[in-house]
Amino acid sequence: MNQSPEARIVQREIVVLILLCAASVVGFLATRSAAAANRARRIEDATFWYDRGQRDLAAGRTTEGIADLRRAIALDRDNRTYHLGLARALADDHQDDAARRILIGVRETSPEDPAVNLQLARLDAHRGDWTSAVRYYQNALYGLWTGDATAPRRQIRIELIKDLLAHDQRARALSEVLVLSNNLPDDATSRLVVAQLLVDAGEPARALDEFRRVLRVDQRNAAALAGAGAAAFQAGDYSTAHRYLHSAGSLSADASEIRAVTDMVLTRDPLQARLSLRDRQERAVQNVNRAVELLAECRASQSSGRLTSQVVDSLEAEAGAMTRNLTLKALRQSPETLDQAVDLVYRIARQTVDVCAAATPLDRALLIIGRRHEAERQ
Amino acid sequence: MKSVAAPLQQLRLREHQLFLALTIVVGVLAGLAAVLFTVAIDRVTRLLFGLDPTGMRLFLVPILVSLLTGILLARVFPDVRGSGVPQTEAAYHLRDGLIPGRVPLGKFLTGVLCIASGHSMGREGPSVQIGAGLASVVGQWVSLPPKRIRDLVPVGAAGALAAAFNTPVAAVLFALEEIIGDMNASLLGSTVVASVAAVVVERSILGNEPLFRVPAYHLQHPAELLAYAGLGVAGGILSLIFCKGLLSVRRGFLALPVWTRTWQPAVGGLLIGAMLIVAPQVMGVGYEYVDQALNGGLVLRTMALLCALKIVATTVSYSSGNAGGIFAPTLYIGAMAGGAVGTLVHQFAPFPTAEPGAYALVGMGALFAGIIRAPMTSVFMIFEITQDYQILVPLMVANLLSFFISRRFQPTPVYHALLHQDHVHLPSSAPAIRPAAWTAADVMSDDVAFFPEAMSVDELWRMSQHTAPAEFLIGTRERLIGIVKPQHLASAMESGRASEPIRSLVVDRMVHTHEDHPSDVVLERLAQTHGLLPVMARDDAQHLVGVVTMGNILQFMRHRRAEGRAMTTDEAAESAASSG
Repeated sequence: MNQSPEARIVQREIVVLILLCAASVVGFLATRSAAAANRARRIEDATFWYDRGQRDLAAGRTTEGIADLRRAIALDRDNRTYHLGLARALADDHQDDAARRILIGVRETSPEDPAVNLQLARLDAHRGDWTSAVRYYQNALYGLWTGDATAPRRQIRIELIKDLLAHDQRARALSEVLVLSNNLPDDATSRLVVAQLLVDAGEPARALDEFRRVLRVDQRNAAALAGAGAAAFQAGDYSTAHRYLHSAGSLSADASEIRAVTDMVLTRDPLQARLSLRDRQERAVQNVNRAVELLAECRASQSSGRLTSQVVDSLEAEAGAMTRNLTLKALRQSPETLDQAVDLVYRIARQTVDVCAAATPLDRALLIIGRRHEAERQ
Repeated sequence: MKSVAAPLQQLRLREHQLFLALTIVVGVLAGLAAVLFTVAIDRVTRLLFGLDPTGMRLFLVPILVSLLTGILLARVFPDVRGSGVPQTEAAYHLRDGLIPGRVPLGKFLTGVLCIASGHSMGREGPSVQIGAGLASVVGQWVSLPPKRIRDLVPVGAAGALAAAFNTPVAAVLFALEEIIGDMNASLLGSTVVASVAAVVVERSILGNEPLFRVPAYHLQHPAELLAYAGLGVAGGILSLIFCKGLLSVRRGFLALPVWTRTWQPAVGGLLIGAMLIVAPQVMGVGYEYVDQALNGGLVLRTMALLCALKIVATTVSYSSGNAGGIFAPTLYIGAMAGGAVGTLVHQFAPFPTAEPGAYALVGMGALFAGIIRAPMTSVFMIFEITQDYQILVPLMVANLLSFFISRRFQPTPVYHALLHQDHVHLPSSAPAIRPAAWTAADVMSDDVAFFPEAMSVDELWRMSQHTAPAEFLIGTRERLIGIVKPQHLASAMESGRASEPIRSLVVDRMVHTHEDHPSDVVLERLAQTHGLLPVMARDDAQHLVGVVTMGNILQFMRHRRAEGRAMTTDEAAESAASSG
């Protein structure tokens, strides 16, 4: 059994290597366990800092809140909630660039995260980079959602439409509204939202259709009645607007204003169909008188702006002459005088309303009447 | 001959195989040690400071823990102070890679305590020493030949650094560039294997996470290179300030009596504690703040302030003798300086520029190149961190400028200068153009006289009248204080300083040589003396191993010529006999 010295050396080396390998395995397991425990503790600490940061932010201590959120991220770098929280806090603190950098960093690891894309969209919309904002909104809409994404997607699309409208992107907004209307449940609330967005997008006729769909189910729906009235008013259908607005009951201040203007349009238009000549003459005289009052207000006001006294004098002279011509006899001989009276009132209203004094519903009605007949003439 | 060659070949083959196996094992062990070191620092920091420390706790913890580490460093582990990189270099170059087992253990313990107690120091330097120490211990345990033990040292260092920083390529380059001092070293393969093994271990435990998360930065405009060049200049100046400050403050601490060494770390702890109350961001490694600077999370004023405070804090922590590295502080200072410069450039440059984070990134590289003096490692390290080619050109511009400025005004690299302060002189890494005819060891003699430092000028003067040596060696063989030149002695006598101790005449900078210095270096240095050139040990530059005089050289040459002539005669006789 006597081994040679060389064999003994080889045997010893093998034993040492086996022992070293065993030590490495044990060391690996021990280190991994220690690292896992440490990681768990860091995550716990990160939660503490995140919660404290949120409390600080809620209490208005922005600087402290942001510092706490940064500590949370340093301890748990993979937690996207912390990154999003910090980005939101920075954006609220007007540090848009810093917020954007954080979001871009998170997006590199999860490009289809809807929350990240949505925040980026809001930041870009805020800084006026509209192309980029729309791209991020689209990424958010078609991102990877967990659970039922219908409601949040709808909210994002509505937000996108509102932003598009705010930036005068009506055509694009309209196409998004149409997509939205196709994906909405057929209930009153959803239809009213779509209808209002159509009004805002400058599509009152389509909006009126949506309001009517609601009213077919619920004739007494006040919001639908008011909305339909406003949509009809925008579409130039004053009779319909009058009908809906008077059925709506209590109205908001804006809707009340629209109702008042609608009433004036319907009661002060001298060229309206099925009126006697006397009625036409009375309406025309009343309107010219109001035009003269507007000129007087301008003369008294210091803020007449571009309206010079010569112009006022000239218009007053025209109005005086028109008043004298607006007799029944004269109107029978030359009915076109009524057209001239409407035109004169429109010219005076255009130059004075909102320049010399705040417009009354009657003034707005006079402008609408004048504009409508001018369009008819053309 | 055949019967001897076969087993020899087999033996050599077995040694290669064993070395390869050990390289992998050392890589794994070094990686595990580096990960455990990182985790331990994190845990102990949390333990010592809690989650949300009060000002009092920030102040007291560094002081109290430094009292304990001071005792450990002075009495139990005296060879683990400071970074660990210079000690590893010394072990590799001067001690055949022999590192005692207590070194990795002591470095781990004291490193964890020092860094976790708030000292502004890095974990990479200690990791390097721990990895190298483990490698050496394993080599000694397996009874490898001395050369192989020595070879394992940079292998362990590369593994540890790769795991500590998650940058395997930079770790290999660092081992070659800094530890070995030769980019063409034959150990390239072994360091790569160990580095890969360590990184595999590290990633399987901590995940494949880069140390810093950095967005992709690009050069926005060609003129921006000028801004990066400016950053390189600023980096070079800051490197100089840091190196010179560190060396001079450390010189001050080293000049204090030896018994104070136990308490010096606590003095550092006191200053650090005071600083932490004002700026807790300078605590420990500080990578979370580097990450913020890289991602544009800090404002100009904060970055400028942290840059200045970190320089002071690291100088204090290191100089007072605590255990920890300057690798991480270097990156921290660079990130803050770069971020500050970047913010200014971003605000005022008339051309489009990258975000300040890009400058913070390049600043890290610039300071690393300027302080550590490893420009290749620096470039690859930043590249591995960012994984972005776009930043390479600005990085190289800034790195080279910083490197050249630092080298111009501080010729000795900081790690070597730190070793000089400990009286350790590493051999030059410059390759020899041709083999030397002889070295200092061949010609030196150890027949020298020493004069005690307490001797008076008058006594030495009287003795010199009889002996008349070229120069006087003051001190003992083990602790040479310096040299006194005859003309200094004469002028002291003339100026009435006869009663003063002779140590008052000792010249500060003593021209000396080392045993391995070749003939040209010896002759050049001998010409700077009055005829007596001391030969000092490399691992203890106060220990005199011999002296060289012109007489020694002439005697050696005569002896060699005689030997040559005798050899020629023998050869001629042999030739005549064979032909006959």
